[in-house]
Amino acid sequence: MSQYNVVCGGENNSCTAADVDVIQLDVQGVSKNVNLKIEDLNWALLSNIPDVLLDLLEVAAYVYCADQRITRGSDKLSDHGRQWRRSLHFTIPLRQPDLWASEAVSSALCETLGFLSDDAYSFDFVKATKPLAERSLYFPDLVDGTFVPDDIALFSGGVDSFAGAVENVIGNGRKMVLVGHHSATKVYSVQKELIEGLQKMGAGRNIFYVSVNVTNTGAGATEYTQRTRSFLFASLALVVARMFGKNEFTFYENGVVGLNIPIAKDVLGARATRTTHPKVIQGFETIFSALLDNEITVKTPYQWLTKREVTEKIREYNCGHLLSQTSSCTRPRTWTKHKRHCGACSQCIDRRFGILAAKMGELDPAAGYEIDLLLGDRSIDRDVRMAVAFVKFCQTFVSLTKAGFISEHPQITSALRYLPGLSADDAKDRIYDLYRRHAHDVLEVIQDGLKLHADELVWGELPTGSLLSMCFSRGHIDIPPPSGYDQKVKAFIDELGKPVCEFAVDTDAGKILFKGGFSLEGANFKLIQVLLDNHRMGKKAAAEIAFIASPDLALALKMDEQSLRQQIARLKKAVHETLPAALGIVLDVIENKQREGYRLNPELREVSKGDL
Amino acid sequence: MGHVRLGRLPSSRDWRQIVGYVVAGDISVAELADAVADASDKSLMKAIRDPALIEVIWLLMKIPQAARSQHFSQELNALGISVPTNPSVTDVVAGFDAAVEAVQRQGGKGITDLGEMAKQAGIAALHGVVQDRLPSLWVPTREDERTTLASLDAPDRFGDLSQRFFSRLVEHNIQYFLDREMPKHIGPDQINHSIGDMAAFDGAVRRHCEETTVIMRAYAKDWLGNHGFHQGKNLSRKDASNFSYTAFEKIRSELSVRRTAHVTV
Repeated sequence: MSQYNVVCGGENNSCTAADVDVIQLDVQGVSKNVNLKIEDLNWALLSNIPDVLLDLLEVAAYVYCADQRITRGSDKLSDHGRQWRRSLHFTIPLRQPDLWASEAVSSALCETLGFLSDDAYSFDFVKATKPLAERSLYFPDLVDGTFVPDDIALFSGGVDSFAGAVENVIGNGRKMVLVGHHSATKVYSVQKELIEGLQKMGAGRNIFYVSVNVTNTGAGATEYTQRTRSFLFASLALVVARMFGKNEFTFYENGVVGLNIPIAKDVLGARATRTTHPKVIQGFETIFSALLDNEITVKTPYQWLTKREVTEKIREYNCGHLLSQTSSCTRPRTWTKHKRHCGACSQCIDRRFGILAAKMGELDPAAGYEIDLLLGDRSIDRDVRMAVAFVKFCQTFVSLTKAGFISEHPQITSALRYLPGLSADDAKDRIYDLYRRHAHDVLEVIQDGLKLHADELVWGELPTGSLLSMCFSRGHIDIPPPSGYDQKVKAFIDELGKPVCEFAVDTDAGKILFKGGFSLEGANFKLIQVLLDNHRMGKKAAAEIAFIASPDLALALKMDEQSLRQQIARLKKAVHETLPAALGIVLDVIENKQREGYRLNPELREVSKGDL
Repeated sequence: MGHVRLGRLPSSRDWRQIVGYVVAGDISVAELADAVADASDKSLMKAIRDPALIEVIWLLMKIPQAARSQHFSQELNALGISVPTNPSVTDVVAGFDAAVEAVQRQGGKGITDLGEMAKQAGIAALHGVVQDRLPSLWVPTREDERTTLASLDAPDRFGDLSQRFFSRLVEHNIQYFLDREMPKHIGPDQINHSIGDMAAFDGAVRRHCEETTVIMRAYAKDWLGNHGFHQGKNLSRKDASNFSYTAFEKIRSELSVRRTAHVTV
């Protein structure tokens, strides 16, 4: 793992190791190379910022800018992606270094950033030896006036954050502060246009837009993955929230993107972003609460919604006409005046599927995409993978059972303990349901596309590199032959030492004996003894073992049926506690079939006491 | 904000050759999978020294032992697996994930792709084998899950668990590379005729990996029988490391035999 020493705020570099690269970052002075600007706030709010939040702004800006300065290697992932992960040691002068160095803060910070980015983080928080930046440096263009919000939310200008604003401001009449970070002016324009659109709908007094710009200056960014960006966004939102006296803020992000189960096998760890992963959200809450010694809540109200379900909210509150002005694309450099979506990145594909699944395609013209979702030619290698992997994932998911979910997507386990109010099993089930809905949405869009473009497909008029063609084009049908080979080999190898559940009856002692010294006696013995006649007859005749009806069995044991059921449960419990662990055998000794009754499990094998 | 970064294949001679096979389209899944395994062989062998892999195998050995105890959750906590009282198998794999991640972050060495694959293979194997072996006549209880986990302490069940683990690990390592290339080869005259065919292709790769690792069933069964029972040993991470070394050697040997067979044919 490549190691970097990130020395901030004009501190001296104390590291002399030859294999450690040094990066200097500063938010002020002659060596300033980190730009941090939060615009359009009120004069009065400035005094609400305690030193610890100024420290937070600087820490987040340094982490974010360092993340962009240091390469993660090429997408060839040479040597199993060795360069993807980096080891970053920061030296940062702060106003309250002791608080930051406390175990509660520093361990939560390192763990959360580590999970968020896949990198290894360590920090030296030191007392500043030079004057730190004045707070006014970060807040230019202060304005007059007051605004008392109900909510603070991050606002990217994508579908999800716009839906959140629409639902709250238009739908619920709440007053919101929308914090929009932008590193490109094109993104800033998108956010402004959407705010203006909402203002034209009469929501002007209910929206307070805060524009934030954090960028590297001087040296350009070389790494565009920006895995730590949500730490920056969350920190910015917290600072703004506290300025307005709030202890909570909101990320509007649909659950599928928040959980972001990898869609291909080379997408390991944070190569699928974890910006709003439940574990990260809880990590942010822990860091912020420890810093402020106050409970801070980060809300994700769209956690259990798919993209389609989120998109439908925009129509529900009559803002569909603004949908085409939202932008989700991760490649703003490729945007033109009329095409704000590349149509190839994961965000574009997810967005377009969501919009089409919501039957809102006419509100978001295909002409706004460089590559049309279903019909565009993706013959260029770079463009084909994402779309194919996306569809293949959904095709496979719809046939996946709930029981097989974790086995097929083990990455999901990292989220299961971080969904408030849910056990791991409940969380697993809800995530499974969420993804099934998502997968169905995607396949329905393809189904609709097939109906709409069947003629072009039949006549071969679609590009072979279009997603629709790739879903259906076949030279011939390949049906994989039923192998059975692996099952046979497994069975053969297992047969070499397959455990058999043998038992013997010791009538004199009144015991059913098993290997390993385990035995059943008393009422359990009597119960098995009654069932034994049918078992022996069936085995002797090599025939199906007959069941004994429940009333008959109860009569034979001189007990009522309720007592019989309790007795059988006690016996099963006694067996379950012993046989699996001692003999590697998991079976229900007594089988029950509705309307037929009970019998001993045919897999049981009676032997003589001596043979046992 | 859910960006996904997809990769490309390396451009070394081995990988160019594999791309050539795919383009030609006249290669069987088994041959292609073997070629990928061969090209990534050195990288895979590095996994043997990966602390995450060793932790995964050690935990797979120890969790069934813990499940035999009446103090299951305490025993798991002692292994570094944090779970609630009376845990389900889902709780166990969630704790397993966190325990392995803690090891990955220890010592500043950080996480590796191979370590991640091992962790995922461990979770998939453990959860999968329990799901497959749970009683089906009634809705399984947590006690059923515990006793099923406990049954994996028996040598033959451990053989099944081990095979599933190594099969998933080898499969993930092969798909780690193939997933980057196969989507580029879809069409009437390509190795995959449609996206749907790719799922069938994945199934064939999985079957191939299961066949390649079937040797693990006998090896793991004998190994645990010898170490766990006959010697009454408290299995250590060192034991897990030794076990994985031999296991990888056996899988490599199997792959080599299969490659030779393909060449002969």
